[in-house]
Amino acid sequence: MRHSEFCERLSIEHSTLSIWMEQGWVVPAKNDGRGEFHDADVARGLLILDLSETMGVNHEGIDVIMALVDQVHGLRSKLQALTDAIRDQDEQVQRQILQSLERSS
Amino acid sequence: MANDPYETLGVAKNATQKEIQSAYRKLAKKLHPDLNPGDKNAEDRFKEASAAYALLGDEEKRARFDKGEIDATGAEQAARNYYKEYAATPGADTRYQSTSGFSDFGEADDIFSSFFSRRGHGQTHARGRDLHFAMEVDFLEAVNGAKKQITLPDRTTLDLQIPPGTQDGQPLRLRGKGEPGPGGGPAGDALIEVHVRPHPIFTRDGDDIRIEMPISLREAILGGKVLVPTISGNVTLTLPPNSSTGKTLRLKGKGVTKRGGGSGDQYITVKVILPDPADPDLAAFATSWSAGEAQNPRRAWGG
Repeated sequence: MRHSEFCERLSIEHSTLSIWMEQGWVVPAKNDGRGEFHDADVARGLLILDLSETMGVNHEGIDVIMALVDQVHGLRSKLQALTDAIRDQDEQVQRQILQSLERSS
Repeated sequence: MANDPYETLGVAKNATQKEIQSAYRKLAKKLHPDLNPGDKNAEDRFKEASAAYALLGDEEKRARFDKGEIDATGAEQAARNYYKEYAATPGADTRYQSTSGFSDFGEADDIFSSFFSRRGHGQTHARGRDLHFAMEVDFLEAVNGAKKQITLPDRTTLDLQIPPGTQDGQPLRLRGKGEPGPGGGPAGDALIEVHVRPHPIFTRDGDDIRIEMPISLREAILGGKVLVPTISGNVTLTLPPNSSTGKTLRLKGKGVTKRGGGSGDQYITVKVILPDPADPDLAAFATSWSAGEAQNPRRAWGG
């Protein structure tokens, strides 16, 4: 979707979107050289609105939170991939990994 | 939603609008699904709190609810897709995902480091090729960690940190020290395969160290204090009396430092060495030692 539709769906001003993009909180996906937003960006926008309006978090706080949220998702996806990879192994290998985890925790 | 919205937000029936708002804010900060990805309980509670707030946060709706004109279910909200649902979809675009939090996982370079620190973004320029090298290090350098310098074929030198606990054959990765990438792409990595020279005393068994310790017949029979080499220097060990060859003692925490913290142990297997040359007094004693004749260490063989 174009910028105008994105703003409409979130009921925000264009100037607000400009700030979000400057801060890097939302980044349009590149498609044929034109930036466009997806549903994921709308959901991200809703989170930013929840933070600023519902929870009263200021700009600095949102900056910190979005960076951490992105790290958590990076971490979760790696952990998921790792867990899936372990599940693909022989049962004995799985058991060894479990033992090793229990020893280190 | 069957629960009392006042109870859900944890406020009194006569709470002011401001109190209701701040109670909801507090809950939202703690329970927002995007701040608790994967926590189903937090999400359910957040939905309940949001529904309660949609009702009580609106003065008009709250008044009608208090009069019994509408019930709590009248305030159910439309379903919403949270950001986490997009972020967690396999194969979803990873514009936002950051794996910078793993950069320290890659320090102890192993086959997983590239998995953890790979960027989600598609790299626009091809990476340069990795360069492979091999080097030998001493057993103690590998076990305790060391700083080494290697000279590359083009005569440049590279400082190399051998992490404590490095295993024989383990590759160390020096990021960006390989060939430069074509067209301004990132440089490849230098991969250095470490070969650990064997040690005359120590052998490595995972995170544990094993040694065979020769002891005299007198020490074997009477026990006593012996000085034992470990990878971090000598320590004094008390040998119990009557220690046969093959008896194994453990020095806890004297093994190899584990990557996740802690250390393995050192195991000491004793080996009784008879005097050389033979002592005629000892032979005389053994001849006259009647209990010695009755001892049969091969009883288990049925002999």
